[in-house]
Amino acid sequence: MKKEEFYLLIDDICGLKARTIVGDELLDDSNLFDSLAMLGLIAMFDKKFNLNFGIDEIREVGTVHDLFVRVMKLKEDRS
Amino acid sequence: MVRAGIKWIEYYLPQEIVDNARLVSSCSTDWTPEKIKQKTGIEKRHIVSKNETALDLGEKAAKKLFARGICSPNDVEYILFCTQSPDYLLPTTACILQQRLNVPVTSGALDYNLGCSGFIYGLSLAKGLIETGQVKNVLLITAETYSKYIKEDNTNVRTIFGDGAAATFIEADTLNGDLIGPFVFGTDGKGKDNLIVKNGGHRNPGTLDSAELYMNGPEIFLFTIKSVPEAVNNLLNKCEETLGDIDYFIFHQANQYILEHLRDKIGIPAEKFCIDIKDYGNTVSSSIPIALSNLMYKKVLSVGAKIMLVGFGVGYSWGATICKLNTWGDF
Repeated sequence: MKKEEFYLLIDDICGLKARTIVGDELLDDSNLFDSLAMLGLIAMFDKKFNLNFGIDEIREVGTVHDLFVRVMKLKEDRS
Repeated sequence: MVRAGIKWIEYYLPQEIVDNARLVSSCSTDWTPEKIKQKTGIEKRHIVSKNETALDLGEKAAKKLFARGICSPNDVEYILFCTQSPDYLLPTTACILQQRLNVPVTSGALDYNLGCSGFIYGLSLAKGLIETGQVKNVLLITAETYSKYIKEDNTNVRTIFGDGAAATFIEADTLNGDLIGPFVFGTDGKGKDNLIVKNGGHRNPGTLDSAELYMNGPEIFLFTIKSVPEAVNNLLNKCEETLGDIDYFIFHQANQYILEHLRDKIGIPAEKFCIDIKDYGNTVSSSIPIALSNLMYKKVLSVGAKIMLVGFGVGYSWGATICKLNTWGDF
């Protein structure tokens, strides 16, 4: 998955217009990533990547870009 | 050989209805009624009045069973009462219900404290009591009033939960083979902090006013997507069936988003999967029997159809079983 595609998924989960997310958004920003958005992220990781992350694990990653890198790395390690 | 089977289920919902529009107007939230419907699948929920309790709801549900002629109070040999909002710390709610319903004093009665898995555990206990010959029948009551633990401005949980009770009459059957079971169970206390009423017990006494429901929705969701598919697989393995052998699936009606995710993840066809949450919300231990009761009234399945029931939630606690109904109420 390309970075842009990943960001679009995050736009959708956060209820934002397409291409709003640029990558440097902090995952511990509870306004942007409220509990509903977190639920959406957990669902997306499960559905698209077969990965299970908890909230704390997601928030600790840092930014949206860091999350993309982490997910791709885990996906690569698995395959 | 004596087997336990569900004879019939009735349910009772309190009169007061809180729809999404009323919910939004009564608290400070940026959610719209449409957004609540879209995110949860819920349009309204029934809420008890100040003086109404789980016992009251359970009593009314049981009396509907009697009124329908499923059984009479005199028939009942055992009452199982599942609630997390009892009238008193003691005595046992089921004991008070025995007196209210005029069930014989020779009956057994006990409460057990479980949430969304409560119906499955109740079926398991009832099956054990009946099939070991201890009693001929069990009146299983699930009754919950989480609204007592929810403040008006707590939109996180207020959107989800509704109050309600179900009464299930389970009796000995010698004609129709195995009607309930096998079972798989699961328990993981490490999830206790993710769905909890922290105050009001002896660990944190506080006041009744401080007994508020806290739910970490994303963590509960994570637990669900890990445990439920595994429970379904384990149950299928245990009874040597495949997903395709099951005629219908009723999972605990947590919210529509979770249900659809689980359905897709497990690979259950939409037409075989129950989503019955729009008019009641999440009624905790009563959500499965309410859905099952509606199914029985609609008579959409043939007698003997295999229905998988899966409960999961607070504890964490989960359980799954298969039941076959031997009647659609043509008494």
